[in-house]
Amino acid sequence: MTPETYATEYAPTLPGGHLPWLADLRADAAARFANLGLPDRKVEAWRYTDLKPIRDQLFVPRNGQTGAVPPALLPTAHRLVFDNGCLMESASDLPAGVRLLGMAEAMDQAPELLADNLGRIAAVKGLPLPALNQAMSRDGYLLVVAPGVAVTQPIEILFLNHLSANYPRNLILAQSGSSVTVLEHYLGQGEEAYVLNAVTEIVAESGAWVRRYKIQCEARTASHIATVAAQLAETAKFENFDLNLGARLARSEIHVALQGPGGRADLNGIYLLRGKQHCDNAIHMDHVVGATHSQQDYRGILDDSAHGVFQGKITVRPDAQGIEGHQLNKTLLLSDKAEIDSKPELEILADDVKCSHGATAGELDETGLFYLRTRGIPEWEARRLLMTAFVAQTLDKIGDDAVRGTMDGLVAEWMGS
Amino acid sequence: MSYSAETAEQVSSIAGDKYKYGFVTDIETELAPKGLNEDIIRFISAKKNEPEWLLKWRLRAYERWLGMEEPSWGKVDYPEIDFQDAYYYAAPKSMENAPKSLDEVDPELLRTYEKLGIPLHEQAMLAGVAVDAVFDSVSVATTFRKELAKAGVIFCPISEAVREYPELVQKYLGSVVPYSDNFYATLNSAVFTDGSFVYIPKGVRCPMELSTYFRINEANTGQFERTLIIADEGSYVSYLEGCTAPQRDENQLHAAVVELVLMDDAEIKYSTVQNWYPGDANGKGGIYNFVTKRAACRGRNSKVSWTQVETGSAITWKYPSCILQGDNSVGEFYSVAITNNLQQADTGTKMIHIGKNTSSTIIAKGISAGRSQSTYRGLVRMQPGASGGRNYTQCDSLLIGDQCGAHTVPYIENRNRTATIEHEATTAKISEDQLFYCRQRGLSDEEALGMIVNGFCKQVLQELPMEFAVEAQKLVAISLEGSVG
Repeated sequence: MTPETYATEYAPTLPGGHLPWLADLRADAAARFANLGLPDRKVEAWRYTDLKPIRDQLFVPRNGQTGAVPPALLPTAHRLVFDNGCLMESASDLPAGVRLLGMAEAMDQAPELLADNLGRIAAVKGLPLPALNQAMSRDGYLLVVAPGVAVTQPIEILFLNHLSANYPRNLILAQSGSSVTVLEHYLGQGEEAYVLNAVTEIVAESGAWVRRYKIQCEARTASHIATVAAQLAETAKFENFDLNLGARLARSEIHVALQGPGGRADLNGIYLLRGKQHCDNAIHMDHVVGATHSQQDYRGILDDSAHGVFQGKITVRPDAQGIEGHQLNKTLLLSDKAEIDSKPELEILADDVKCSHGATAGELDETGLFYLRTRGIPEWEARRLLMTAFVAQTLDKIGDDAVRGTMDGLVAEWMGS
Repeated sequence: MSYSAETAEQVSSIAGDKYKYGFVTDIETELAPKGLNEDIIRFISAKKNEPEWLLKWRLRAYERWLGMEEPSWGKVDYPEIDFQDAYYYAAPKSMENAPKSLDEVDPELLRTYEKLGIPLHEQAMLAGVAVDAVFDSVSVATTFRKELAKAGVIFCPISEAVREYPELVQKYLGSVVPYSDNFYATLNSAVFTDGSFVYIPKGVRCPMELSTYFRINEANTGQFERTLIIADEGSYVSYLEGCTAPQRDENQLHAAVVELVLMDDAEIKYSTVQNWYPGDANGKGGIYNFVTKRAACRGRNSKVSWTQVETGSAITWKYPSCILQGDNSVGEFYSVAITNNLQQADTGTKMIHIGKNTSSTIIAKGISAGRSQSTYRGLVRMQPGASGGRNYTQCDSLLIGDQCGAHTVPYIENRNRTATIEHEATTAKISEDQLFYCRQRGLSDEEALGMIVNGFCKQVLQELPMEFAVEAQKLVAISLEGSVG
């Protein structure tokens, strides 16, 4: 698709055509992407991930019917189901104070809300892939939680993907003092090498508490590029956990701006890779103001020729005093061909800070293995125990029990296969 | 507590006048015409009586350099450098007919080194150190050469080595840092003037410390020295490097290349106390220090250790690296970087593990005060063949005052299952508790600060040879003098 055919042929087919501000937003984004182009490996943030192989797949959106919809991961959840990026099943029986809509529906039902919030977070404005998403997206979800409302049951969003390219665009708006848990489940079907380019924007107003979990089980031939941008007001809390299991090429980019004192962000994740899988976790934690707190813990196990990447950056702006920011990345290499590239970065422009990062990479601990074997545990089981213990420390950071149980099950399944 | 604000104020009040090496030696100087072109390179080459192959090498580098772009990835900010607005060769007139002994050297030059505290007379106090003194573009004197020759050690200016030991120089020059390596190394390859050449033969433990002292004197010049050290099988040498420059309002460029080659079981200990003029309190003047240093551990069981104390320069851009090619080879990097006022330092190391059971240690300490910016940038890479490789990295930053910045940018790449990499970094301000404790024990604010900072740097400072350790500790104290009120 060229910029010309975009404006004349593609844009008019998108939902929300009656909203002039939306047309402008899309046209701007399309122009920005045309201007920036797809990042290559000379761009520092893409140093370890090459998008060239999927360049041509990125621009061919196509609709198609999916197969059977699997049951919900969390039996108690309210659930939305998307087929190739378009809403397929809506949620019912939502508690009072919660709006959960497809983005295309929301363009009719809550246009003012979108006008005020969609595409507003700076972190997703200037980047090429979120710009492409903004220009191309047909659907996604909008979740709005009214002030003071605590949603007790988690909300599950299932994205079933199987074809060409799709661009879910999501927005979570947690109004002051509210709390909500969202599980995004990306599930691949079929064998086609599709591309997913998703964006989730999260606005946590003062005192709000957002927990977002992601289970990425895309098809092993697919590419998964997800960008999350969160903006936290004073005393807001954001907890994120990414479980990366699928996709041939995965990139999970998270930008957090801690904009109010007392804000806190916890970003954790696990990547378990085999074959020729590639998974890149890129994080930018921006301490815009003082008295904010952040923590990151990412662990991975790489087998075969898998390639893991962790790029985590903590920025402390000038005068943002009283900061605590910690970062940890640990990787186990199980094979001689696996590779991990880790770049934990600190950019500190204030002095009253406590920041640290740590990174380790290596094989399973021989001593631990030996110990378990002297206790009569067979080697395969000893290895599995050690690997499970290795990731358990990160899994322990998941605050929601039901989600934790689901993730444990998926991790155990990976270890066993 | 008002500590932070006061500290910042006090630190910023330390002006350039604390820099006691800022004087200028008034001597007649021979300069090449201003600017950079092929003729200047031919001029330098002719001045040094160089063989044809070296001139060709320089010209190849120059041609390559013309097509290169200045690197912009460092976290340093400076106005564009006009490479045509500088002299690429400057030498005291008195050096025109090379003096045969120290007695023939211009006494004004000798006095300069005396003032700098560098003993050029062999009977001087620090008799255990042989010194090569480089003044702008030429080497003024090299001491203890006879003594070293007895042990078979060659220690001389590189321009002399080119003439006296052409096979060695031709074989190793550019073998670690090729002429096409990077913008500044390529510039250096085209216009390098002097520097030291060291060869330690098989099985020899160099009987004394070797040292080169670099002095920039002339205005509007750049210094482009090139150092080449070859440690043959089973040899050992400890090499020290120091440098200073006059206090001027203009920035001056220093782009050096250092190459170390290590054969089986060889060991080189390379220490630097970098004290170029840092510029004044408002960031006016100072040296731009863009340096490429690299060691190739070609032999089995070889070991290289870089220790650096970086207190000077307006801008430091420097990544002493180790290529650990030989099995069981060891690379070490110990660094203290202190920035004050408007100084900027982007420094670190690269450890490239190629051979089996190679190991490396990185200890980097950054101290930022005033409005300065300090960055640790490092790479640790385990190649697929680096089975059993090990790395341990620790980089800590200390912030004094709320106007400065400290950044850490490590790249960690592991392509071998059996290799282990551990990396730790912290950034914090000076602990109020520690300060309070020291003051409560009767120490003044300044003593307390000095003690804490010296403790913070101790792991690195203790790696320095004794003579340098003393100087380095004083430097740490001077850099932070008056920074608490």
